Amino acid sequence: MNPDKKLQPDKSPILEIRNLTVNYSTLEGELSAIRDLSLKIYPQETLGLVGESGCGKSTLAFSILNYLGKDGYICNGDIIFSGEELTNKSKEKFRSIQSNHISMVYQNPSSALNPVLKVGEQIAEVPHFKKNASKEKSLSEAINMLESMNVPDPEDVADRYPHQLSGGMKQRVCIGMALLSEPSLLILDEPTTNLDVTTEQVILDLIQKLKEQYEVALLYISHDLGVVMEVADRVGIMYLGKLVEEGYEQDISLSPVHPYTQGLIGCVPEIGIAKEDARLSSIPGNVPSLTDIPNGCIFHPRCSFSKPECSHQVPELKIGEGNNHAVACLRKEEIAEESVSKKKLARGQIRGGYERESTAKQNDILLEVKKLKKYFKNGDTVKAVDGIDLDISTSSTLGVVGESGCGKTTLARTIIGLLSPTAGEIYFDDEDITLPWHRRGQEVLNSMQMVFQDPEGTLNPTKKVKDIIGRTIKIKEGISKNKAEKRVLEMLEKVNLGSEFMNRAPSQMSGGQKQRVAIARAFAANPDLVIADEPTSSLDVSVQASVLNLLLGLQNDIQASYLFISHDLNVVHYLSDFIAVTYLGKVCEYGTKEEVFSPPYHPYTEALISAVPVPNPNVERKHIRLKGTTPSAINPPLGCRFNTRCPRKKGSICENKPPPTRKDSESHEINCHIDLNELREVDPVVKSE
Amino acid sequence: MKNTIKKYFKDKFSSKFLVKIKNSPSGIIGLILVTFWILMVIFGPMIAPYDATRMNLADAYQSPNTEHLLGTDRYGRDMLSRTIIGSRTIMTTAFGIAVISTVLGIGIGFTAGYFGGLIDEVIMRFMDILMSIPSLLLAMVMLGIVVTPGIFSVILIISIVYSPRTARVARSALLEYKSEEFVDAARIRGESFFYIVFGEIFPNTIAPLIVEGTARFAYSIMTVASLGFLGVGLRPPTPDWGLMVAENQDSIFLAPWTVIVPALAISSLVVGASLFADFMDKYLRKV
Amino acid sequence: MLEYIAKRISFMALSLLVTSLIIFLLLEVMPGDVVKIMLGQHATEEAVSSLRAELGLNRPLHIRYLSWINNLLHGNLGESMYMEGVKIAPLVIRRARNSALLAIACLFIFVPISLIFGALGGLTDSKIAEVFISITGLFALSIPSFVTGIFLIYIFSVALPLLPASSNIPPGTSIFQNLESLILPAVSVSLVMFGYVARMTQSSMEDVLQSDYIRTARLKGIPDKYVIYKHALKNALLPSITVIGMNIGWLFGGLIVVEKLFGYPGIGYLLVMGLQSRDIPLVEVIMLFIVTIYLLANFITDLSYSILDPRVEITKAE
Repeated sequence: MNPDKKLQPDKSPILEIRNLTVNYSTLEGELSAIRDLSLKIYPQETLGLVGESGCGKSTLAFSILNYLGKDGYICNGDIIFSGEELTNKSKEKFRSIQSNHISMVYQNPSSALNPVLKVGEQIAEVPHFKKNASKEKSLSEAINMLESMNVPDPEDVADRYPHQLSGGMKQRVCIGMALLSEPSLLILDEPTTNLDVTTEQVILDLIQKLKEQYEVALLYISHDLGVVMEVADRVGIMYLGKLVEEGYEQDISLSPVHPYTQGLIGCVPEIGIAKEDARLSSIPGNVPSLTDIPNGCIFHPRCSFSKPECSHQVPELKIGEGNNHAVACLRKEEIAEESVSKKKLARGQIRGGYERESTAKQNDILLEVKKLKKYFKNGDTVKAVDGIDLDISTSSTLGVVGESGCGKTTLARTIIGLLSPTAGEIYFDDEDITLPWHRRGQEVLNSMQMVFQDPEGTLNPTKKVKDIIGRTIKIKEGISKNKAEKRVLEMLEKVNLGSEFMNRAPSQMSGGQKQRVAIARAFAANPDLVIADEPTSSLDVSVQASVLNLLLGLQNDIQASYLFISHDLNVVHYLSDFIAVTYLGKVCEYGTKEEVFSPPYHPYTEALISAVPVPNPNVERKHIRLKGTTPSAINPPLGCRFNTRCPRKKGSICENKPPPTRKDSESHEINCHIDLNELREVDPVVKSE
Repeated sequence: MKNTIKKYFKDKFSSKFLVKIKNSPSGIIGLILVTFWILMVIFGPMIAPYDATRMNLADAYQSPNTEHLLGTDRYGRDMLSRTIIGSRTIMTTAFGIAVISTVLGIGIGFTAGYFGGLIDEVIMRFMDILMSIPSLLLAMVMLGIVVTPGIFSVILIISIVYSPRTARVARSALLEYKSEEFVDAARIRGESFFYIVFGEIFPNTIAPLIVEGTARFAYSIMTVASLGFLGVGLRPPTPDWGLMVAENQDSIFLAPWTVIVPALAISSLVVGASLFADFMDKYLRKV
Repeated sequence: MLEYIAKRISFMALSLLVTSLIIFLLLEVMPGDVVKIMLGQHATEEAVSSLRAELGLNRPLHIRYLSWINNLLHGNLGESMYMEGVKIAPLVIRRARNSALLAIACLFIFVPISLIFGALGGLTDSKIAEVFISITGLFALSIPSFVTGIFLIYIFSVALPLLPASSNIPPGTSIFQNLESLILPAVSVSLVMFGYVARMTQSSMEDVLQSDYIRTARLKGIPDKYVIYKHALKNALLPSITVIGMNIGWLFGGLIVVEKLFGYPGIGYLLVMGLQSRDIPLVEVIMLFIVTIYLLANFITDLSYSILDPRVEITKAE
């Protein structure tokens, strides 16, 4: 991030981990969550640790803090803090050193705070116990810290209970609380994972600010490469309990060497690259379980560069020449050379996107939604969807993007008939289907299917795959169970699952596999429209890429249309032909993906694009930050919904009058009071190389 | 649905069950105790040395000896035989209550849970009102004044008294799954209400319902014994354990075995049932 | 807060109304002819109809119900049908006071003991202690109160004559002058509650100690004792309040059987005798009384829970 922060070889590391091995005692025996891991963090530097679920990054954090729970223990290796060896110290000594110098911010701020104590009290405990400060002094220190965390009205917030605060607010409380003990090392474990992208940016800004203000080293753990690249000076990549690559942030993002790192980077769709340009690279296979760790290089079964020696020789993480870029790979020199010569492909993307037919609106309109409203009445009226128009043509993809509370899931569920609309109309193939699901005809039901968000809940745990997919086929084609089996095998093949999955139960499958079965189930009915509600949000990045590739492949296969809902701007841009940006129950901008991602922008779209972290240091982004939080849908602002946070707010007209729809082109609409000419003059958010 | 249940039992109660229970000493003890009494129920009449209701005043109040291993009561009836035969009534009654109250609960709870809205409100409010009369009190009054107790009326009355509680469990089990995505997926396939409740949701609720059923069995034993003690259960000369305690309560100084024996019998059965229910709860939660 | 209280009170009133109807139907309608039951099979027609008129049983059902309710609301609890001329109200009040003593012993002596036991069990690292409390608790809550009573009587009255086996207080003295006769009944009644509360407290303390917020507190450097008292305890005790509320019903059942076993002059024993003698007005009043106390007890437990747990929002304003 900061090119001036280079290695200072005369300074000794504040934290050094040497050959750490951490095991867990489980019913399946002793499992090694971390094996032979070494790393160093220097004072006031930020080390980012990236890895997917199960790689051991949280275990590492808790090993440093010696809080591994009943079944975890440090089997081997040393943890040295400020020159002192921690691993051979007694529990109390370890705890006393740790609580005085190392603090942690956790992934889930809701569960990290005690629900029955006031927030101010919990923060004040730090100075109270550390410095023996009086109750009043501790509380005032707590309030001051909240203020420096940019918390509005800190006295009021301190007097509240955790459940009365938003996620972003709670996380600020946790960060402030961690800093109050004046640590020399701050560990952050996925601190922004559960937050909206605009809130996440606010927290990331805060972290940048405190790096400058406090003399503290940061260990920033995340699965999100983009976020880590923004915050970190140096980056380490973890896979299955080992560090596979480590180096300066620019080196890792621009010239990654290890095949896993390359795979990770290539999995994430970048803004600027769409499905027509390139396929997402996905890492074949699955992460092995800890009971089945491969011999030799742990990544070799999934590695496209693997050679015979990779299966029995364990590569060491050795610091290479210059710039401290270490790679644990037997072929690292060859790979590094290869990447340099294929500059763009070093980012792991495969040339050749998906051939698409013309996306101009000459196709028929398949789904038309007019002035759709869905209110929930429960004492108060929650106006989840408050007047949305959209349409989807045959064989095209409409992406609906927005943050939490924008109503996109409600929109999906109303269109598919799980909810009855409060007002408005839905037309499918020219037929009026403004009815709940049980009043729609079987044909319509078959033609419109849905893929849901949570792979854990999407399949019935008591049924086997062949029944799950078979049932859809039975209903659609009315054939017997045995004949359906053949068709089930066909569907499994289409989603790249082998026949061994026929008799599997959901508990025996990974998240990605379950989602594939759910996709097979939806596609077994041969639908014309598939609504996908955040289908990949709960999946690891590499799994997400393969599922997205699958969705695109299937679409090509049967020429279905998609209504793709997500909060992830990158994914929506990559997949969609058209995009609708939603905020608080209304659409604020609508157009082709190129139109939405270039000026003129709706101010919210502008802010949204600028909030997405980009793991490429050569890309400049505008710095637009939204103040405050999304208003509640119970009493949405009159006039323009976005006016309370809009950085381009014109004046009182935005507060009082609903914005007009301005047409920039036949397909491009923006709902804003600002003149289109003014919006056209705005610079693009992202300037790439 | 019969297939679902059969498949479920085959699945869960195969060797996995035996392996799991090996790890739980309390579960094993519970199972042994309950099995012991089940065997008594089945083979009781063949084992019991005497007729459980035969009085012989000449033999009254004999302390345990070789002829009467557990002594005799105030009417000269053999305690061992009465205890063995008494197990039949308490076990069958408790089992009947467990089954019928669970079935009633499923009917009421599933209806309230699936349809929601006003139906749910009305049904559950009414259940709440029924529950404002403590169960022993209601059962006792109904059996004491209202109905002439025979084994069927006892089972029916207590099942009705228990039904609000089982309904609540059934309802919350249903609600837990009603809003799952796979149920939504079934809806958008156009499945019928019947299939959704019994084909998709019900198989997932079998586990909590079994847990509830075993717990109900344990509670039923407590209630039946207590009602017997109060004299509103089955009438003499039926060898009801609770009744035996009440009948011989005054002789505790003179002939303590006449109360201790039935008290121990009740304790062993009820503790066994509770241990087993506890184990089922832990086991079915994990699997 | 006031809204909540008002809502609850109105629901309690509704419950009482409906239960009074149920009680009335159960006791006056269903058994068939009450008078015949009282006078026996061989009563003459005249005796039957004159008694019926005397008792007002020849009036239509809804009139009888409404007049009964009316009397109750005016404090007129009627007279016992079995015991000539005995007014129900003072009898019930006196007996209820005695039963209250047992209930108070349970709630204010045994419940705190079980909370402490359970909390200690959850805090300890010793697996043996954990299992011991869990199993003891299970025994305590499964064995019916009268069976516990029998064992206690055997140990403490028969084997070692320490305490009285029955609570037959000499007439003229009050229970307060005979406190030893309280001990065994109180223990018998309380053991079930002890079992539930100790087990629940232990398991919830275990859960709390594994929670994320306890981890945060410990890693902040707060000394262990303080972590337990300030952070863990309140969270661990909250579910126990719910358990206590849920088991007050069993407590009433326990009172009934234990009082019968010990001959304790409480409202439970009165009920048993009333049932045996088919004393319908008495049984009606006792049932209604128990239901009222039960509803009030549930209300108080729910209210305490909402006050103690800040996550329960009973105020609408925010």
